Amino acid sequence: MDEREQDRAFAEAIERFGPGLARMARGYEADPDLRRDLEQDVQVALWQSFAHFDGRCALSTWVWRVAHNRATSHMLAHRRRNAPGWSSLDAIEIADAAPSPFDAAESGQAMALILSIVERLDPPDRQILLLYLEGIAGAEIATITGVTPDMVTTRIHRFKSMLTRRFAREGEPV
Amino acid sequence: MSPPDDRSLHALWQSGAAEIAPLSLAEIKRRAGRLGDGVARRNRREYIAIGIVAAVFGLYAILLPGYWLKTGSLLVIAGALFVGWQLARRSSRSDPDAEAADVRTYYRTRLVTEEHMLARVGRWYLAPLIPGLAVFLTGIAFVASLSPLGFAALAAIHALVFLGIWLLNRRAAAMLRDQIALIDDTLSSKGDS
Repeated sequence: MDEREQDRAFAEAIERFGPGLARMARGYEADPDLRRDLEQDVQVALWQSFAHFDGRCALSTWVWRVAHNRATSHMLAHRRRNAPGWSSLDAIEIADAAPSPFDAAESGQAMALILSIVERLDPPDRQILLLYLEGIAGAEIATITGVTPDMVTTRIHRFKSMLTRRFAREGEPV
Repeated sequence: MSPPDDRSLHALWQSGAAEIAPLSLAEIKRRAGRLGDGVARRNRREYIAIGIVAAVFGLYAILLPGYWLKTGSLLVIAGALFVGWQLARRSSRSDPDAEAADVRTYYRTRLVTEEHMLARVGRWYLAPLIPGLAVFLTGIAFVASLSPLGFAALAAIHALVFLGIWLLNRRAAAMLRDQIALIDDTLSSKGDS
């Protein structure tokens, strides 16, 4: 791919996936200044990557792979400052105190809970979860992350179970 | 109790303004021409520390009396420069080709690189500094006329610091090995964990 095509592919990627990439960055970095650095690093990584893009996979698969890989590098580089450790979804327990209905919950409250789970996840599970929240289909998540579709389904199910324990529906037992 | 449905979760996640930090194409190309990602930035702090060690021991080599202290200072500088070279050689860097791989493979590769670096820290980070430090401490013992016991205490303090660094890095390497094993287990479990 020559540089003009590279520029065009990059512009298309930012136009299509820009907001999604910003949301992805939110799932990797809580500090606003560092998040801006990450978003800019992701753009550099994407532009560089398009020099090698040969259509071997869908544009979306390529974009999400490059973006999550660069974000993973960001996590590794800042791990001393960040949380002491990450866990898989299996190892995370959230407080079950005072459950409230998901539908009735303030969206800010629900979002805070989702982010509090995401921030504690190790990169493999974090990637699956962020791609799911972005609305990517399970089969494509499997292609992007390198796991089986069954694995993706299992991880998403676990995540939703965690949310259910916290946000019990009104009138149902907790 | 039924779980929240996909649509409401997606809508919640995608609600609100989300704009990626703007960067002009010219600026992107300028940054792409520069080496470095987060790991490079982290290593920069190590390079600065190495520069400070070299500068301080350079002054020692000029100002301090006796061949032991001067030789020890020069050996410490040589050791610090060797460590800097090893750090550059062993660190993982951003690689546009590798970054297009599936994210689990990429993450595993990064962890393996870091694990190798930490597990061998005694060889490439600590050992190169030991000859210079040993000669330098011997020089101090001569200049200060330390008793054998005093010299042993001085050497023991430095040895303990080195041992602490070695143990901390070994522990970090073991934690990375656990993470690598977890990824391998996950990949082989076919999703029925």
